[in-house]
Amino acid sequence: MLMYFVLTAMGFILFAICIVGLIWSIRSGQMDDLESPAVRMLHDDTIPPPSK
Amino acid sequence: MSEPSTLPPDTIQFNDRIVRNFLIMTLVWGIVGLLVGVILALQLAGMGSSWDLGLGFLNQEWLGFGRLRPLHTNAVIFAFTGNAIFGGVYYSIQRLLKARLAFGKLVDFQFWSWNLIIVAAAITLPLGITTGKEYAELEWPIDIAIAVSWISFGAILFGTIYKRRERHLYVAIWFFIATWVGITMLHVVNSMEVPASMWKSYSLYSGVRDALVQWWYGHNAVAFFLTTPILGLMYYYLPKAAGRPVYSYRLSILHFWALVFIYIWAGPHHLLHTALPEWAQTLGVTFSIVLWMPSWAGMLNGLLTLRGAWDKVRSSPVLKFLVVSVTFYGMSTFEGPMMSLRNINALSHNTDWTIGHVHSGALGWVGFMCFGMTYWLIPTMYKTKLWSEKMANSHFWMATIGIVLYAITMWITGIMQGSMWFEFTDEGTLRYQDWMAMYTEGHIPFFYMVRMFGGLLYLTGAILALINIVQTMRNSNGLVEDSIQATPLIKDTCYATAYNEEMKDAETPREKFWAVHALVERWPFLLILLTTLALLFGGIIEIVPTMIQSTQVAVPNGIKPWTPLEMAGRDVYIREGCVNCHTQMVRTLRPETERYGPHTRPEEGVYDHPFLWGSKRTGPDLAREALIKSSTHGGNLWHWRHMYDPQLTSEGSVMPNYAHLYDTYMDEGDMDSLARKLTIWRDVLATPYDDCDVETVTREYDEQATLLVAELEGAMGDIVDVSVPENAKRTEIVALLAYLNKLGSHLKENGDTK
Ligand code: HEC
Repeated sequence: MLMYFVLTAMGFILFAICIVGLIWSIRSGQMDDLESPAVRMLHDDTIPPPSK
Repeated sequence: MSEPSTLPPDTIQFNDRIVRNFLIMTLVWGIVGLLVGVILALQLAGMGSSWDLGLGFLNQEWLGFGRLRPLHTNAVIFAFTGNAIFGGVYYSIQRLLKARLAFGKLVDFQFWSWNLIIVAAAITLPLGITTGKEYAELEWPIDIAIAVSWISFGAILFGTIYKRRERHLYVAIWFFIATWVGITMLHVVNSMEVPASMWKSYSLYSGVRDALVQWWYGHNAVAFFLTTPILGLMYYYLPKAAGRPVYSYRLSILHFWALVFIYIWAGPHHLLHTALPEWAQTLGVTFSIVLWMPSWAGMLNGLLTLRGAWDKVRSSPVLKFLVVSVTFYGMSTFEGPMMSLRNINALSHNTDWTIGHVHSGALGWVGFMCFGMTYWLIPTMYKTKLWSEKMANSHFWMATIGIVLYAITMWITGIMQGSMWFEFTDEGTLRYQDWMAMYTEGHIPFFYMVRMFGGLLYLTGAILALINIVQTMRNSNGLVEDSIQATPLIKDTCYATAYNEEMKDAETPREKFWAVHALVERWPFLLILLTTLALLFGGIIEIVPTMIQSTQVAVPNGIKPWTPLEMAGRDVYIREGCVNCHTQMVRTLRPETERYGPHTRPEEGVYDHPFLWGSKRTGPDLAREALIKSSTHGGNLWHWRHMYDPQLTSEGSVMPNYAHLYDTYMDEGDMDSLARKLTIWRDVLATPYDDCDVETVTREYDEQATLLVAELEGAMGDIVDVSVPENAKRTEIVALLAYLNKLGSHLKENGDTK
């Protein structure tokens, strides 16, 4: 029986990590702009290699 | 974190060499894993047993199905997919975070350690060195190495996040973080094993508990190794390759959070109709159904990214691969919840349907993503074009036809197996009493050949991919590592300043607490590190009592610990991987109790470290073997001939022969280690043994073995096709027979055989 509790506890711990992660992401502004990141990732802005 | 910086930008050069290395290993291990898969498919179609191509030499003990199957699964999951994940993650996070990978030396270490682990797997598994737990077969020293390599991966990931020059964490990164956290937890919990020697350990848990942990692991490994990282890759490489942003970024965030919250609870759907309590089963089913929604949201998000750009798909092999991959994601995430419905599961469980399902996931979803990604990455990094688009297109079609053939044949054979197992005649008896009759009447070998052909196509495609990629690299001007310019974030560059800042006005303990809290919150990686530590600590605290608790398990009526001989036989069973073809779990369904005997009860497994329930019935269930092949039904003589050559008793059987067990003897050294094993079982696993010294163990071993051999010789009469060798009592086969005689024998003594 104890094993169910252990695994359920593990589930809840993971759950807790997720909650903390979620709260952090909201509070730190990760969710403020949900439009531009999708576009920005398309541009790497790499420096062109020096032409030989 | 704070305002955009006014500091001057500096130049950052990416580490792309390591990405290349991982991608090459992806293809190499992919080919190895697929090749082994094709060999296994041939074996199941009858090669080497009922027919052979003059390939009798392949009939080696280390090439037996039971030993090779874990090599196939490990190679495909941890070697092929693992390398692809690392390569794909390391490329994308550098760009997304605008930072070079942290800890350059560690990155190399991570590459080498991971690939050496796989080499170790490729050596130990065919040698029969295995824990016997599916998808976690590697023995304890390798498990430790995996942990070290995995922690390095975490350090690199979080280190790079820490030095990032881009505040926002793109959704892919969230998926990667979840991958790391999830796998860390799973690996630690499921690998709790007690070493008995350098290359042999026993699971700390037994029976139903071990089953529960194992499938909690198995299910979530699918979540955190074959789903979240691949979704992360999807959200990066699909927009990149299509040159357009993901359909809905909001939806992708929602997809992420929904998945990580729900996935972990669905594990018990692997154990429906078993000795697992009903409520746990219901929980598993419910969450599986709920999972369907976010999964499909993700699939649609991926496919809709290409809206208005389908013309690109037609001309780009990369996009073709990615589109089929996402489609298979949708297919598998629909099929999975469906298979977890109780009545469908009753039919599909232990059949080929499950095998088809995992291949749709692993070859369809994961495989296509990895290939598509590689075809995009290598030319991009080498600043050139793919060597041959035509070849890539051929690969695409081969792989697509291959996986479709695979999935369809497995649906057919799976449903056929399930229904034949369950079919009753009008008189109320099982229609198919004889196992091999189902193979012939269902034309299963034919479908297995088609499946093998599908796999062969997929493998050929992968070989083309390797050629194409190597040629692309050779025809380029070499790898050019990208550089970018980025300004550092003004942020909590140093803990001390941040600490002072937060603590400045904190006076009361309460304020101090919140100050520390705010501090922790400023660093995502610190936060995740702390929570993971808390989690591991909590896990250990909870597991130790379980371990001690096993001393108090009420020993059920008639269930006795393994005798030395049975223990040796059980080790042979684990080593040979019989668990890959045989279950030991009679479900609570009438056709099963009719066929095998009383259903398995939770308490039966108290001495089963690890549990050997299995998940696939290529052969019949063995949990009641003592009742089925009792002395009136052939008994040991039957086993004796069958194990030597299954064709002698069961024509057309695809079971490998185990002739090598007939001339492998237990010598004094083996007796020594057997005594040591029993001591460990007594002292650590709380098994009630009295004397575990070598003399007692040897004496008991020989006594029981001598009786068994005498019975065998008595039964032999004039059947002499497999003779009994000198000193037969010390052969491994006798130990294995003793183990088979034990399975379900407690029911005989209790008299409740029906
Ligand atoms: C390739 C899959 C495969 C592997 C591996 C395998 N078996 Fe089998 N086994 C079968 C099949 C198929 C049958 C049914 C046909 C027959 O009787 O051979 C079977 C039948 C049996 C039976 C007869 C069961 C009955 O009640 O009729 C026993 C006992 C058995 N296997 C034991 C073992 C042991 C022990 C091992 C490991 C050393 C093993 N098998 C490995 C496929 C396999």
